[in-house]
Amino acid sequence: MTPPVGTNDPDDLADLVRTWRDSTARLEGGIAELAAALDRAHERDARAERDPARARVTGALATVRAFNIAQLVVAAVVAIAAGSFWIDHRDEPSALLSGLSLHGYAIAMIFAMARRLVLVARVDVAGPVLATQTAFARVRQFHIRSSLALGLPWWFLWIPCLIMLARAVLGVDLYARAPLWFWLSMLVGSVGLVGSLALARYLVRRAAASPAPRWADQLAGRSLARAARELAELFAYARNAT
Amino acid sequence: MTASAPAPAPSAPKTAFADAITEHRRLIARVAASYGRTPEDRRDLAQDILLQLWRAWPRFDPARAKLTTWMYRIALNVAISALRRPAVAAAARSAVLDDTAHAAHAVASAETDDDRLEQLYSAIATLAPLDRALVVLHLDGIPHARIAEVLGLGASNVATKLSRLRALLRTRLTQGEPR
Repeated sequence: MTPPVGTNDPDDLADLVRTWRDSTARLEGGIAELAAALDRAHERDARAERDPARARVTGALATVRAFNIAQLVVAAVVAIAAGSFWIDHRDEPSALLSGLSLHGYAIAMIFAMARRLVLVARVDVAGPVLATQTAFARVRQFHIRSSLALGLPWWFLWIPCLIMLARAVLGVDLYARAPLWFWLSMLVGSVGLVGSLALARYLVRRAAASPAPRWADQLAGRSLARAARELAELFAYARNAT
Repeated sequence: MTASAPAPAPSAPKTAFADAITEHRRLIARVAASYGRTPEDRRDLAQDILLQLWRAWPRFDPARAKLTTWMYRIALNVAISALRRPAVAAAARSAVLDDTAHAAHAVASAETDDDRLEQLYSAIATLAPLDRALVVLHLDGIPHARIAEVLGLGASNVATKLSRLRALLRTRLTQGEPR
């Protein structure tokens, strides 16, 4: 498959290209040996009517998919539970609003997990490189965006959860009993939200070129900006703009 | 260095895999050499590419793409992705190589000691990941139409980019420009 040197390369690179084409002999020997070893492993497994070696390679992706499906199922259960809760408590404003907020969150989570699964399914590692890398970039961008959208509300979301739990288990209207607790919790949530964003920005700025913790990267918006830039570059590349 | 056991498998064409890899092993080695900075990186990348090819092998359809096109696509996709997610690649690698430790060691022993070649690799390493893919395919002597097919670009787009990249590479090699 390798044509003679000089068919396709600039004259002054020809010598170097020839060296390049001959340079990987040792690496090639190891590759062929490993390929044969993988085949032997597969044959051994096939004789035993199982294929644990290949299953282990596919395991990482299968785990991600299974985790997303599990989150989708949990979100569906929460949506049903929260939905039936606010329907049963339409005449109690605090319970109604708590149920509605958790219901809305669960629906958003269902959408996000379904979208993640669709985007992951669109990645074809044997597809054209530009299309595959664009699909990967879309997965990364949506993963970061949805993680932020689903994670940050928990600075507040635990409050309606507690209100619903108190109402469902103890029959107590927590907001009516302790309005001060409610507003203090909202204040703590606000401070926590602003504080975590500020901490992330500080860590990212301090880290400069070196990597900041992943959570800080995400909260400061750097991961999202990077993912967006990556996608824009891929689109530009396809348009011959780079 | 082909597979030893002759028993045919009920599903995938197993022995054909080792044969295909042996025939086109240079393709994997060159992609790994172009995207890995150190001998260890190159070894790891060659293993990652091989594992991904092995995993995808049962789904390979010669009617959809030529074998080398399919191999280049997977090799380059793995190489570009590994630049972004080294930890994920390492985890997937360690999942299967226990069984094939000896052969993995053979890949590990591979490295280059040619200064001019290292200079070429360094010049290639300064390029963006997709530009690097273009250059690797070009240096491998792949025609523009096939490069376009592997990368998913238009053939004229390939020609334009390659013209620019050749000039850039030549300048960097002449100047010995560091990374």
